[in-house]
Amino acid sequence: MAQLNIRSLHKSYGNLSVLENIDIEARDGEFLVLLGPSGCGKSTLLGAIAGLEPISSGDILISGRSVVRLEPKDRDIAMVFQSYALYPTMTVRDNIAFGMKVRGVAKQERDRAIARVAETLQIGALLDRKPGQLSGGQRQRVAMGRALVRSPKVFLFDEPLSNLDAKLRVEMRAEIKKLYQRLSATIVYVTHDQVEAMTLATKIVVMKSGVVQQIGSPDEIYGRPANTYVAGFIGSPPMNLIPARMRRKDGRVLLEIEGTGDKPLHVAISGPANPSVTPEGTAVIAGIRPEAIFLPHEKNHEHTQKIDAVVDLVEPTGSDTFVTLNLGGNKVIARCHPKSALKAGRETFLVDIDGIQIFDVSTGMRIEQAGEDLGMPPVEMTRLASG
Amino acid sequence: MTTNNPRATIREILTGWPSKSWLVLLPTLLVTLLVVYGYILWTVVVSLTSSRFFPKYDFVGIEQYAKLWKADRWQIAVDNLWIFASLFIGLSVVAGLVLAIFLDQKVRLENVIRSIYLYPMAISFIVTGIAWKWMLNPGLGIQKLVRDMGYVDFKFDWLINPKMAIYTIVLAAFWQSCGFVMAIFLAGLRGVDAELFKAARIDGAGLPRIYWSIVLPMLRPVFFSVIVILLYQALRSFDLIVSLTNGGPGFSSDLPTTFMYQYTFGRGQLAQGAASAVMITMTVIAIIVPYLYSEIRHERRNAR
Repeated sequence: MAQLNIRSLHKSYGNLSVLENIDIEARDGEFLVLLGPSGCGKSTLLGAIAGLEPISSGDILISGRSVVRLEPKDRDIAMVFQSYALYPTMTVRDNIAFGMKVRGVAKQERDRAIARVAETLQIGALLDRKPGQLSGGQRQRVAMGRALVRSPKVFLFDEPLSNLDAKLRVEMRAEIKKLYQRLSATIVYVTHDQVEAMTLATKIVVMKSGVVQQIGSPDEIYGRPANTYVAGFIGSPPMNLIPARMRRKDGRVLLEIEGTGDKPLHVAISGPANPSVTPEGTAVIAGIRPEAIFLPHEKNHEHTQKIDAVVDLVEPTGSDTFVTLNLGGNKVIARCHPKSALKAGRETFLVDIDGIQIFDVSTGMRIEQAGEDLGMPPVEMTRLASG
Repeated sequence: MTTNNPRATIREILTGWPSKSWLVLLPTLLVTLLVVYGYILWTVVVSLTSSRFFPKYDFVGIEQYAKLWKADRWQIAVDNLWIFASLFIGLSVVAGLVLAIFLDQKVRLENVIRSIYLYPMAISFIVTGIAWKWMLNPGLGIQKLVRDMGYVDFKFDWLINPKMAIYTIVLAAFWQSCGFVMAIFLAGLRGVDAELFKAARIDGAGLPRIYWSIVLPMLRPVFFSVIVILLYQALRSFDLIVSLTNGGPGFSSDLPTTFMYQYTFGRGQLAQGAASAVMITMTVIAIIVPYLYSEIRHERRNAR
């Protein structure tokens, strides 16, 4: 159990920079998820923490001690790999014991440790089998057992569930969460699956091309995405991003969106915390989550605005019905109640005004709105990448 | 390898029997049956007679085999075979494996190096034999070269030393096969998941330990294939000996194959030669059949 600090970490291959200025702090017992698409550098970052990938500059501290110059085995970490990386010719018992054998732990002590881990993970019956005789889920457990037996300061998980089928993935996800709650260990977990990130993490690091986009709790990442990239990456379907203009009228701040027909749509919003950022007529990007657009009878909400839109497509999924709207030429997705009978054609929707975010057009960065953090948990740490 | 894949042929015949594909195979099948299996049978028959220059069908039982196992020259040939086979296989496996492991460490110019090591494989054994014969000739090759450099007492006369001649054959055969063995091991090493190395490093194992405890046990099937192929090569090797020592000096570097050739075609001892040929065939069968059996079983298991 320990805290992990990563300080201005850089990694490059020649001129190609793969990790840029990474600053991450994980407190003791934090479940930190590195989230991003393939090739964003999240696995490389994990490898750097493990000591498997050399870094170009910066520092990594575990429990306040710099580990950059230490071998992987001396960093007091354990890792679970995507392919599980179980030693195929050894039994489950030997797989779990291998690290202890290498370190010269006495046989008695090894057996005790194995028994303890086998009980925690319920793999006692599998100990004398070879990995080839195990199912995917069982292999996953054994791989976790091999990590667990070390009782390391930090656990590293590299996309541990991506080789499992959908049903098993959900089960194992729950098991990892239970295990985490029992161990209250510090965990760094790499995934490209936002659902895994949202369900498991206490803190999410969203990455793109080697640059950290946002660090925050799942709530913050979802509710207050730092930029249009995060807004478009998180959520399924993701946040609608619509070109808009800032207008001022009678002391109110209006967001002007291309509407259906000739008349543009004006939505009154609280406006930027600092009005000088967006003078009259500034182009911005409005971000609206699909659940912030609904049919009038579905929800009672104070701050709503009517919009007329053309329904292009209705996609029922059972729990929700996703409706693709055409709003002045922009494709917008709304999440509606499955019981709401909808047909293609013109329809009136309500937009939850409090759910509208605004982003700078050129930088894509989120513009803080006035009075926004009322009723929101205080921002613990939202460090944004520069450039 | 010089053999076709016999597994495929057998399987195709068995499973394709009701279809028309067997018609296409029929000529090959008939020729193989007659020329290979027919003459194996004929050799067995001859080995049970007292034929000398020409076949004669007077059955004398296992007399030829009794005579064979009493003959000094056959004993030497058999002893030589064990020396040759064990050293040749041992050296090739160890050196091939070490080369493969070195080449698997992401070295530069890997393709070039691999081709260089594989190249001897492209040469026929006759050429290898003659080239090594020149190099090992004391008055012509290495010994002369070193002596010319000033070391006048240098001696390297294995080729003409009855006690050492068999080792020259080991040397030449090893030189020829080592790269091939390396290539097979390299293919096996490439199949090892890179994450295993990472996991083992986190477990604290150094490279030697990783190879010894994790990678080599994984290569067990590769070891098996390599050893069977080399063993079969050792048993049937003939051209290399003929071109390098021709069994000499005297018959000190004879192998069962050269013995068989000498008796059958050189000394007019057809039945005796046939008996030795049957011994060789039985040894090959004893090795190949279990191998094929395990391979076919493995394939079936995978097919399911």
